This record gives sequence, structure tokens and C-alpha cells, in this order.
Amino acid sequence: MTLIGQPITRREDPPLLTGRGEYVDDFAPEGTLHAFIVRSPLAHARITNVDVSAAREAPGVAAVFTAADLAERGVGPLAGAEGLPPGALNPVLPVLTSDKVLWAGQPVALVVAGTPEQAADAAEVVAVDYEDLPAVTAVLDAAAREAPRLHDSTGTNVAFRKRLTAGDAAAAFARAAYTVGQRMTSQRIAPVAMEPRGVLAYTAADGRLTIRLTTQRAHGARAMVAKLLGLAPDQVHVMAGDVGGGFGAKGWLYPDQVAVIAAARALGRPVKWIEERSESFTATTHGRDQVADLELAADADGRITAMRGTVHASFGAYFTANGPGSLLGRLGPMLPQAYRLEHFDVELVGVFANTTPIGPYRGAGRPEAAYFTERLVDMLAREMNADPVELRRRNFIPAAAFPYTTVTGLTYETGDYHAGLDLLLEKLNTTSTERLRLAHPGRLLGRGIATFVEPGGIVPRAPGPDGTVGDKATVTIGPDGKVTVAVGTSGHGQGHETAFAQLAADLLGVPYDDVTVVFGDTDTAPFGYGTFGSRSLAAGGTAIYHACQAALDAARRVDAPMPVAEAAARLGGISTDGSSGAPPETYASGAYGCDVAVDPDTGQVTLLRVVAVDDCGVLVNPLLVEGQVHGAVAQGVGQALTEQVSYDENGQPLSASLMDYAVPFAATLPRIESYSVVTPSTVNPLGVKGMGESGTIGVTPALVNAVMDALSAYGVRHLDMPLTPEKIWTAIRDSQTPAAPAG
Amino acid sequence: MEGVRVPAARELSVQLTVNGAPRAATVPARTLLVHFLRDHLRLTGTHVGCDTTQCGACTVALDGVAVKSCTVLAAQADGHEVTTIEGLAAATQDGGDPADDALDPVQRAFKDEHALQCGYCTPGMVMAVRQLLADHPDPTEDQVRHALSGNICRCTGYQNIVAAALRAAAGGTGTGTGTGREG
Amino acid sequence: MFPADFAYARARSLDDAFDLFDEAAAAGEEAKLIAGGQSLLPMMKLRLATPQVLIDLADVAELKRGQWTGSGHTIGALTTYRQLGRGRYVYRDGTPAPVNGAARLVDQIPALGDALAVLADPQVRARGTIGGAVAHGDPAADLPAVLLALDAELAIASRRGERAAALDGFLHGIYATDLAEDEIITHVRVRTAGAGGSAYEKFPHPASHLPLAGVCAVIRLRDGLIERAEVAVTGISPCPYRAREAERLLSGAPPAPDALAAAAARVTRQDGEEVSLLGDQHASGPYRAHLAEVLARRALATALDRARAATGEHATEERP
Repeated sequence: MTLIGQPITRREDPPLLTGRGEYVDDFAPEGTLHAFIVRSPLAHARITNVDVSAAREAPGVAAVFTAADLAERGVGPLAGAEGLPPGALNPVLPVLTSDKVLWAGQPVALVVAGTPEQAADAAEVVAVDYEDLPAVTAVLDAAAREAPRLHDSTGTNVAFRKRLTAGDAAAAFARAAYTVGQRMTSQRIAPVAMEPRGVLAYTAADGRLTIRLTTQRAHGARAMVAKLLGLAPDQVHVMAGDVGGGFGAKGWLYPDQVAVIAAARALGRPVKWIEERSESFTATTHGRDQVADLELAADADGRITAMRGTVHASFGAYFTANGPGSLLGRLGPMLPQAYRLEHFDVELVGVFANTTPIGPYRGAGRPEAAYFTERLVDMLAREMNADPVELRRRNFIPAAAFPYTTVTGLTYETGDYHAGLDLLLEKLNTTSTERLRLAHPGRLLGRGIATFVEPGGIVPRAPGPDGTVGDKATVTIGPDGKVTVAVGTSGHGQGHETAFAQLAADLLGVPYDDVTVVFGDTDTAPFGYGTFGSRSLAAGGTAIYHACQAALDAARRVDAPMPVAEAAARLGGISTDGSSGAPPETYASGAYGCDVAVDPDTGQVTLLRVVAVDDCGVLVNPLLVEGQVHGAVAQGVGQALTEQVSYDENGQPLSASLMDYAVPFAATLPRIESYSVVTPSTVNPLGVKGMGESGTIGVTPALVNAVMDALSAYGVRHLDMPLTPEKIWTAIRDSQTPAAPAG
Repeated sequence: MEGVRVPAARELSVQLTVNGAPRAATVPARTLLVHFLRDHLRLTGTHVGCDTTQCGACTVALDGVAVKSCTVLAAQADGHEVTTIEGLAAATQDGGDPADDALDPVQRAFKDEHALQCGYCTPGMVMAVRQLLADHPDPTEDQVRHALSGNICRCTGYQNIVAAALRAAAGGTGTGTGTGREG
Repeated sequence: MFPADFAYARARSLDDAFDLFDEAAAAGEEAKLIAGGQSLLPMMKLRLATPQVLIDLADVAELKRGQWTGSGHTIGALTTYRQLGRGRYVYRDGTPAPVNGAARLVDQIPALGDALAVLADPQVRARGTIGGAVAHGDPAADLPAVLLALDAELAIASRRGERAAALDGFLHGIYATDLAEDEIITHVRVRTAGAGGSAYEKFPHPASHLPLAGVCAVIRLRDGLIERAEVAVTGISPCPYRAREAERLLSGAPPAPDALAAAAARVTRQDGEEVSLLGDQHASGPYRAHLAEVLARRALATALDRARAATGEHATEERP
């Protein structure tokens, strides 16, 4: 019986369930020193003096590092982003700064002491003098000509403009029967992985710089460390170990981590730094933070013909290496979603502001694109007095049209959006809105849907150390028949050990329990780009597929056909490798629906139901797929209802702890009903598509559409997220339409 | 209590029972119980996820009742009993992972229901669910969700954690090492 | 995450605690009491409180002894929320035991049960104490609203002797109470007479779970009319308060929805003026005031239903 499609429970679980996880903070080699980062409390200021003399004398302190100390050692700065349009601003980011601080939380000095308490105490006596400068935090304010300028040598905070055009949008709008336009915000939010970020660095017995890092990209981190510290990559060993969630924010190598690693080298002692949770709200990259002014045009038959407008995207004070890709490679090109529109004219504007740098966060551009477009489609339906379901059906790329190249030049390889929507409606309609109304007297009921397409499985085109592009996998079969699969992706909770073992065992025809999967350690895992952007099964899985095929080929070359384990015994072992190559991306899709009840007296939204239909191609392990849907939905619900990173007018963070930043709790969420449609991918031999982020992409617009449906009697057209009770109650109170009878 | 009162001290000798064994150390008075467990006793299964007593990743049982060990001083636990995640399943002879049937019923239910992904919140969740079932052996789904108001998970969306709690409840009331004294 | 350095001592008795206070004062050091620590330790971890001496009251047996007086309960200050909820707040021979011959406190005072179900979370409830709830002076705390509505009285001890203080008037503002630095709350006395018709409604902040607004209502019926009512509000103002104008409107009123609504509409008035409203990025002042009115309507309706059930009448037909 094939293992593909089996809901096997995870082999990762026993150590994690019994307190034997190996997270960075669980390690403390003999003599470990502890670091504390002194950060700017101001959002925009010039540093006039840094005095660490008192800190250096504080009890237990081994050293205090400033920008000057790192400069002396030739450490840093971090290069900005990759893949920017020509002429873009791309400032370098200092590891520690002694010059200007551009966001509240920017690292200024590093204290290293015998215990974390001593380091924290000593940090309190580091004296930094600042000259306050006016700060700007909102993206449109920052883009304005008169805004306080962040990067001195530039004339503007606008880092780049990129216009995506196709067809003749102006003409399409001119002749349109219907147009709808709206300013919409995808607000700044924080990833809040349960494990805070950190790093432990030391020189191992073999002389190599050895780093335990909360990372999604072990090989990428190694390359970056080597570059920043002037070392050969083979002199650096990076281990991810167990990582407590990442959601995109643990892909970058941060300046604070670089400072700690440099300190470990300088002191010749292990140094460990673990972020405090409140610290993480200014120190760890945020997601989203865009304002879109977009319009749709449709003809008299309700065919959407064009989209145009502008998306302003904040990147915070500095680019991260992979930050702009979410806007340029994802958000912009994915705005057409599942629709056949032919005219497109959208300008993407990247902006700096005095806020924490923006990095990828679950969905990374795709939740935003789906949100903007699906809100507009609902508004268009309202404008036309049309059924939002029918309007989507009429405009979907039909199942027969795949592979389909969109107006923005992306090729969706397979899909069946009509089937997804049909299945969603079938499941949603098992409970009628009327029945819900009766079950929730006094409440405003609303139902909303959203559909989406989203890319996954990306293989970055940067070559690895061997000069080729692709994630690598190796398969080693011992003479005893035991198999070790090593791969260059880097799971951090997704269940890759289990899923890849299923895959390899199935391909090789060996027992599941005879397969061990390793990743995340640059010593034992071959090169890969890590895990992010829903890529691991498509890219890592493909590499494993090819390595297994090579092992089967090796077995076939022994004198007679025999199982691969026997061949390994005969040959004294088989060792092969494979690569993902450089395939195009996969395109998953989905249709999500939400039922909500709004309390008109308080504005409180209760999420009653979430129905999720996902097409992620072939399912290797449905249990893991569902788990990803649940978790991603929870994060999408958080953005829709409660999460917001906010700043006051001086750039001071207002939501810098879990007392203020509201992530969903168990009581916030209903049971999520998860279903599937399968259109296998044609761009990899497994037929799989990435889906780890789909829940965030589908549920946010579906939920907002549902709340707007609930408020439709009040004539409320649009409300920005998060849909807090006060916001909703105020909209009801201020509405021009007389109140609809409740219940 | 008779005898001479011990004056206020910045460093204290702390003695407690952890997972059934007597443990002692001399620590700064400001040492939080979670750091005592993790750094002094090297029981790293209890995790730190926040600094405002919200997330529950640090949940342990103190005298048989689930508490947040980040908001208890080691000094306050002096003379008391602590059970951590490491104290639940039967240890194996070679120190490896216990077989499924050696797991505490709540741990087993978590595995069967895929109630963990990154695993960071998991020890705290398991301890919280054990407390729930000790107090309410047959909880409704609503009760389960509200009983988790002190625990945050960012990976699972809670659904399978709730399923695991209900599964463990249905499978009986055994809680492995027992709940000890209750208030 | 790490508190500033301090010295710790565990008091074996009240006298020990007073001695420790004196020693700290003589050394010019700030001393604070710690009971459950669920309010104090979070502040110390953020270094918003930096006492140099911490006096742990956990072993002071006297603070755990409560008793049932027939018309009310005297609850030891060290009684945890968990113990209150489970009716285990009287200690005999050092171990907690159910109160003999008396119904559980949460059954006699349903508003208490309401509050305990939504207060903080189970782990914090296992450590946090009723004494701590009162002594801390948090503007957004659930239990003080219930205690205020029940005319709770505090028993306070110091080197100078014992005194009683009504909770009403004891809470002054944000983290400000009438408690002198060397005083210890030993017991909280709450009446149960007429507390059967009580309810607590809360609108929590989604991150902290603190009440953005919380209202406790207690109604007593006599001859088909509302004989008296108590309404206490928390979360919207620098300290929890009794809404006396609303109470006056209810006194003698017929137990009908419009009477409850009229009273609820006055719930943000105190001493003839609108109360000073808290407002921040989570909820503005005017919205909190609105929530207080909505919660007051709901708490009053539930309190009324319970009061009727206690006297055998039927529940209200309409729900505001």
C-alpha cells in the first residue's frame, strides 16, 4: 500500500512531547556567556555619544561592543535587498549603529556577561545620547515629499517604483460599464512565533565557528556569516536544531545575531543571546504594511476587464534581503488572482519609514494580493447588484484553459477554480444563514467567501556552492538496508521528517521505519535554500525524488532485479544525490467561506464557521496538510480581527508586548472545516503544490467579506482591518442608513 | 514554624522536589522558577515564550496544580513539589524516546491528533490540558477552549489540541503521575 | 524579563512580616509583600517595580484561615481564585477544606462565579489571591468590581494593631490604595445575604484578557419591586467604582427592562459627574463608557433573573 496520502502521525512528536526538544536556548556549553542588546528607544535620532564605560565595569561583564568595536574587526554592514528595480535605493544596514538610528529597536550596543541577568543589569547603565528627530511611521506619510527623510544621502523615502502593465487599462476603464475603487490597508502585523529568536555561537574543537541559530535557512545563514566575518564557508557550521516556528521571520540573518556571533569570535568563548518577547516586537521583522488604491473595471456582462492603481508598501527603516520580493515578485503579479482580466496597470511603490524592517510573514505578498482583489470583487458585486459567487464564476480561468499565463506573465500550471468554489458552497450551505440567524438572536449575521491562487515551491535562481541552481538531496542506503535522506530544505514544525520519510520509503520500496530524514545542519544536509514560501515539498521533495530514482537505478544495475535494500547489501551501500533543478513555481488555489455574528451593541465579531477548500495538488500526508490549514487560518483570523502593530506620532511602539498585541486564543476560533480538490501540479514529478500559507491567504478576505455582509444593512462599504469591536460599533453608530432590525 | 527567622537574603538555598526527586541549588533570590528548572536543573522541556505571563509555554504543576513557572520565584517553590513535562512519561533505559504506550495519556492524545507542529508551546499545553482534565474529566469543547485561555499556540490554530484534550478525556481519567494536593 | 536584584524572606507569621518591614525601613530599602505574585512579579520582570526586599506571606497560616459567619464569609487574604471557585478557602489544621454546613461561596454569590470564570486564566487563578486582587489597585481587575458591589470589608493588620476598612473608598486610582506601606490585608469579608441575585459581565481585551469594561450588579427584590441594587464598574476609569446614581434609580423601581435600561444609562456617573474615563489604543474612553452601559443592562437583567429564581418567580421575558 502506498504511503502517499496516508495521515501518518508524526515521528517528530515523541521528543517534543516529552521535553526533549533541542531549541537554541536549550544549549549552554561550558563557559557560555550571555548577551543583551542595547537598542534605540527612539524611532529617529542622531547618536551624539555612546558611553559604555560604566557597563564595562558592571558585575559579571566580559565585554561591551559598539559599532566602533565591530568596525575594527571588519564586521558588517549587511547588504540590502536583492532583485530590486534599477535605480532603487538600497542602503546598507549597520550591525550596530553609532551614527543615526532609524527605528525604535535598532541595535546600538551589545553587552556580554556571565549570566543573562548580569547582561540585562549592565545594559541599563550603557549611556547613549540621542538628538531626537521627527519620525514618520505611516507608509503614505513616509512617501510624501515633505516627510522626514530616513537615509541622509537620498532625496526621498521612496526606494523604488515599479509599474506592471499589460493591455490598455485606461481604455478598458474608459469603456467600462462598472468600476469600483477603494483604498485598502493590509496593516502591519507581527509574526509572534512562540520561540523567540536567538543564537548561540562558539568555536568548536575543530576550530570552526559553530552556530546554533533560530533559522529557516541554515545554508543561507552560513553563507551570510562567512561573508560578513570574512571566513570561508567551510569554516562555519550552522545548526538549526528544533526551531519553534518561523513564519518567514526566521529566514533573514539579523544584525543582532551577527553582533553576537562576532562577539563570540572576538572573545573566544561561547556567547548566547535569546530575544525577550517584548523585545521581539521591535527587533523581529514585521509583515504586510501596505496601502492599496486599486480599481476594477467590468463590462456590462460582468466580465472583469481591468485592474489599475497603486500599492504603497512600507519596508520599515531598512530592506531585509528578502523583503522586497514579497511586493515585487508576489503581491504585484498575483493581483489578478483566479481571474481572466486582460488589462492591468498597477504601480508598486517601496517606501522607507521609521519602523521595524519588514520581512516575509506567512503568505508574504499573497495574503495582501488576495485581500485587495477579493474585497474589490465583493464591492463590484454589490455595485452591480450581482451575486458575489456568480461574479467569480463568470470570471474564473476555466479548468480547460490550463496552463494559463496571466496578464502579469505568471503561468498557472493546473487548477480548477470552479470545482473549488462549488465544493465550498456545498459545504457552506449545509448550514443555512437562516438557521444561524435563529441560533443567534440579536446578532447581525454575515457570510463571506473569497477565492485565491497562490504560488509555491519557488527555487531561487541563485546558484549554490557547486555552481548549480536547486535544492539538493542525498540518499544513503547502508548495507543493513537502513536509509538516510538528507535534504536542503529546513523544516521548523511542518512535519518534514515524517512527510519526506513517507515519500522516500514509498519511492524506494523500503519500510517507513527504516528511513531517517535529516535537514537543518550544514554538516549533514546538502545545500538548499531552506524552508519558506511553501516550497519544501515541491523543491525538497523533488530533490529527494531524483535521489531516490538514482538509487533505484543503481540497484537496477546490479546483476538481477532486486529490492534496493538487498542491492545495498550486495554493493556495500548505495549513495546518490538529486536536485530540485530550477522548475517554475506551483500554483495552489482555494475557496474559503466564513460565517460571522456581529453584536450590534458592542461591535464584537464572533467567528462562527470557517470552511476551507484547498487545492494543493497531490497530498502526501493529509494530517499535516490540515494542520497547516488550521494554523494558517488562525493567523489570517488574527490579521482580520485583532492584530495590529501600532506606533504613536513619535514612532514609539504601542503594541510591544503580548499584553497589547492580540494573537488568537483557542476560544477565539471555531472548528475549521477543511476539504480538498486535487489538480496535480505538472512542474514537478510528485504533482505537489505548496500550501503552508494558503489558510492565511483565503480566510482573511473571506472573513472581512463576511463582516461587511453582516453590516450591509447599515450601508457600510469598507472597513480596514483589524475589525475591532470599537471600529465596527462606531461604523454602525455613524452610518447614514437607519438601523436594520437586529435578529 | 519554630526557630529563628531567616533574614532576607539575595542568595538562597532552594530545596524542592522535582519530578519526584529532591533537588537543591543556591540561587539569586530573583531567579524565576522557569530559569531554575531550565538553567540550574537542566530540565529544558519547560519553555519561555513571553515576558508578560501570557503565553503559558512555561506551565508546570506546582503541588499538583498547573501554574506559570515564569511568574513564580524559585524561592517561592522552596519546600514544594514541581512536576515538569519531563516527569510525565516513563523514561527509557537508553534515554531515548518512550514508546507510544509509555506516554502519559494526554501526550499520547497529542501525538494521535497531530496537536503539535513546532513543539514550542507543547509542554505548557500538555500541562494545561492535564489540569483541565483533573478538574473536569469530561469537558465540553467550549470548556476546553476556555481552559486554554492561558496558553498561546501560533502553529496549530488550536483545533487539534482541542481534539487531543477531548480524546484524552474520552480515553479515561488517568493522568499518569496523579494530581497531588489541590487547593 | 529579569527582575532587578532583591533580597527575599519568607515570613512565618504576621509579626515576622512586621519585623521584616522594620528591618528594610531601617536599612533605607523599599520592601514589598508578595502573595501569589501574579500582579507583582510581572511588574518586577518589566522593571516597573523594583523593590529591594520581597516579603513572602505564603506561609502565614493566619492569612489562609477563613470562616462562615452565617450572613457572610470572612476569607483569608491568601485564598487563591482557584480555591474560591472550588469552595476551598477555609483551612483546618493547615490543609484547605470545604466549608461545613454552608453552600459554596460561588453558589451563594453567582457574580463571583461569573468573575472567576473569566478572570485572567487558569494558571494565574491558581496563584493569584483575593488579598492581592485588592491590594494591587489595578484599574482593570474583575474581582474588585464584585467585591465592591457586595460592600466588602477588609481586615488590615500592622504593627499598630488591626483596622477594618470598607473596600468602597479604599481604592483611589491606578495602583493607588489606602493601604499604608507597612500594612497587610489579612481578610476580606463579603456578605451573602441578598447576593443570590447577582451577576458580573465583562468585555475583555483580546490580548491581556483584562476588562476593557466590567460591571457587577446585585439586585434584591421585595414585594415585587427592586428593594435595592448595587452596581460596580471596573476597567473604564482609574479605579473601580460604585455607580450610585444608577443604584438610586433602581431603588424601589419595578423590575422591568426600561427601569434597568434607565439605570444602565447612568452607570458612568458618580458623585454627580461623569467619571474620568480611561482611553488608549485598545478602546477609547467614550467606547468604554458605552460598553459599561451595555454590560450594565446585561448584568442587571441576569441579576434580576437570578433574584427571581431565588424567590421563586419566573425570568424576564425580554433581554435588553
